Amino acid sequence: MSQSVDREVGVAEKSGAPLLTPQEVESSQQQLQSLLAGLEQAIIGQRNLLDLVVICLLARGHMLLEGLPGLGKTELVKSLSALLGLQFRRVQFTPDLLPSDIVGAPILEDQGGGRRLVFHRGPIFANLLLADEINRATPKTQSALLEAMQERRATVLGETHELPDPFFVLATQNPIELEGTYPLPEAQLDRFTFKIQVEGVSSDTLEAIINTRQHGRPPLLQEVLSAEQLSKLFAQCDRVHLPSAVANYIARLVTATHPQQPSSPDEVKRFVRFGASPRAAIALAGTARASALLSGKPNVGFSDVKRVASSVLSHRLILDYSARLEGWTPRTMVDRLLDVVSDVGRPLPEALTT
Amino acid sequence: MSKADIWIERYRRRLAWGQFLQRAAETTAIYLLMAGAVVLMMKLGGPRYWQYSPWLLIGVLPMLGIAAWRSEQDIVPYRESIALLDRQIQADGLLMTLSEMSDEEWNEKLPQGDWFWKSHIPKFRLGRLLKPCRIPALFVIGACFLPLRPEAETKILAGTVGDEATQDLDEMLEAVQEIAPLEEEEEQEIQQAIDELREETEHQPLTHEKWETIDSLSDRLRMKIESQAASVSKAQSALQTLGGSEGGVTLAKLDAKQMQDHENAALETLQKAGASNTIAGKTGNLSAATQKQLQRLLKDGKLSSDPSERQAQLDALDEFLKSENEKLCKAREKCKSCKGGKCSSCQGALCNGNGNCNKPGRGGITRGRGDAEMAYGDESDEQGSKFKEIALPPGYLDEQSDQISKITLAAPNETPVESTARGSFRTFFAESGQEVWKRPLSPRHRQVVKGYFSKQ
Repeated sequence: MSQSVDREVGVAEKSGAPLLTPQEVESSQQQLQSLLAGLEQAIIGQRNLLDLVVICLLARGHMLLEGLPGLGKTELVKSLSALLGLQFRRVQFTPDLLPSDIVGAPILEDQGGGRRLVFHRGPIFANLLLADEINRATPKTQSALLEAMQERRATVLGETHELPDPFFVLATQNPIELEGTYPLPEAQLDRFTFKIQVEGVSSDTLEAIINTRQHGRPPLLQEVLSAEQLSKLFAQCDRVHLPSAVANYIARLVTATHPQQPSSPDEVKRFVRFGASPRAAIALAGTARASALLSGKPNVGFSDVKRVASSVLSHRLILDYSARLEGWTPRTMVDRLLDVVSDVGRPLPEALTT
Repeated sequence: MSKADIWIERYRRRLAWGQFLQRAAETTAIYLLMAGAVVLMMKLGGPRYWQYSPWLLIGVLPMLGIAAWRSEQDIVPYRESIALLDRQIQADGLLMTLSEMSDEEWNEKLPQGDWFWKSHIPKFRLGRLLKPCRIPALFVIGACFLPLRPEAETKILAGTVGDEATQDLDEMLEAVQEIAPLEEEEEQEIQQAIDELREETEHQPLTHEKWETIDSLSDRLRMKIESQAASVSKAQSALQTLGGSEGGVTLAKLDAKQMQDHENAALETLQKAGASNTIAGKTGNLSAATQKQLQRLLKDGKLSSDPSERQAQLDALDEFLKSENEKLCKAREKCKSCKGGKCSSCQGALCNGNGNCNKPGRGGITRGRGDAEMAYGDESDEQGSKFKEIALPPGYLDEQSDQISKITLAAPNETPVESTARGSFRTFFAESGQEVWKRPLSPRHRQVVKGYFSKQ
């Protein structure tokens, strides 16, 4: 089949790596399901949220969790670190937090009869960094994370220090109590692969939480994925095939977020000031791969893109003031885009029916 | 080739057909609209072309060609075709992946049954296919059922008026040739002018200049007829005088010279006719004896002195002149400008004998195209009707800003300022002095003013 495609299409993706075998896919799916099962012990009734967290993790992306206090954001990240067996650090962001408090600082020390500046690594040098209430720190401190999140390294006094691999930033922020906070700038937000809204839970879930949690203590979790297994999962995620038609869909979807594009919907033209960046398209492709692997598929489908589109794009759309007046939110705008932009570039001819 | 490949090819063919049929429906709809318009034009504007309407069906063929070309240009690409099929069978990207990367294990996970693939091949939707053609087809059918408009019975062809005019000129020329033979050069000149006129008016409408040419030629020929008529009239008069003298009524009053003049006048018409044609040819309807007398008279050049023979010659001449008079009457009937011999100048001129029409202003003067019948002596319908009074509306000042500054008993004795500016400033200064005094007082104020001065 591939020969005929190469002859006629000529643009087929040639990654070189073969497709994942069914056995590999099955094995990966089992490992991921065990991780999800562990997370479900800590966070009850939020399966969709947990799926997205695992997808973001597989895509090696950073995640920003936004929600009201007490919904389990911090607990989720702590549970994840416990299940993965990775080095975990937590930083509580406050207005007086300095960049050196995160990245680390050179300290003058006595060594070998002399004094020298020794770089003391900050909490950023961990596999899993929980940046709790990130919007409470000053922009200066927030910016200290920029280089670390994008290039996975930190530079202090002209000296560059590589961060451990894997490196994830899992940040939380509170949408209320905004006095004395500093909203994250767009450049910072763009570096977060996902921004996930942590919603409230149903009464059934609350009942389950009440029955299983004494004094709010979370259950003790055992490590289900080692760093080596996680690394293997990352490699397998990279081998998930992205068909060119799906890549085209991602490209059209991201392009449609730009108001200056003629093909973008009217709502985008009216209410969106700035659309998503190419980094969003890359993130969309990566997270769609992860979603496919989680679903036990060797390839990405349109459904995978639709599954992660809202979490990837919503925080990258800068809406106009008129959008707020009309009741539009980034999330509803992305939903509108998913409705308007057709997954296949060409519709079925009108004379035909399925 | 795997089963999936076979069905992909079938799916693509179906898409191509669907695309073609869609384009064909669109182009056919456009063509039907155009054909309907053409049918409508045929029915209403040119019923004689309705017989060719079946040829419109041939126009469908190029439309199908255009549809094929458009569908070829707009064909669904291979990648999108597979994506559509993938979505159709809910493979969630696996078919797309396998079309780009071959893998036997995953290939086996695709559905293998033909029924499955067949059930997902799209079907043609006839209703949606024919949707764009519905209204145009109704339009065409409606246009076909429209009754043919009857064609006008009388054809108005270009140049008919010109043809008629030149034809009349030809007939007049022929008539003139019969009664008053033209010289060869003059005849050629007139004939050439008529031919040129005919050629020019064949495809172009008559213009004012051409009408003038026609009138000029017509008048020229009519003058020939008139000249001949005058000659015949003169000859008849002379013959009448001679006939009277022979009878002894006025013989004593005519001397020899007068007798000779009358003879010459009576023979002039005969000599003119004899100079160009034979008497036999000109007077074919006369009796043999008359023709013999006329030939002899023409040969001698004068009347015989023998009384009996002279009387016979006078009778022959009288018969000849009557014959000429009849020809003139026929020629006048052909003359259109003479209105068939009934115009004011012709009426009674020869046909009735004396030429007096008793009509004013008919001096034979051409007054151009604007000549119109004029009636004299009748009074206007409004003549003598009683004058009707109409109350005028109340007066008012010309402008709102106008006001009477002062009213004096006598005219104000104000001398205009010597340095009064002229031009645009003139209106400003005219607001005072004599101008104000002469300003008309509005009727509603008159009573007030009158009352004021009466008290004084």
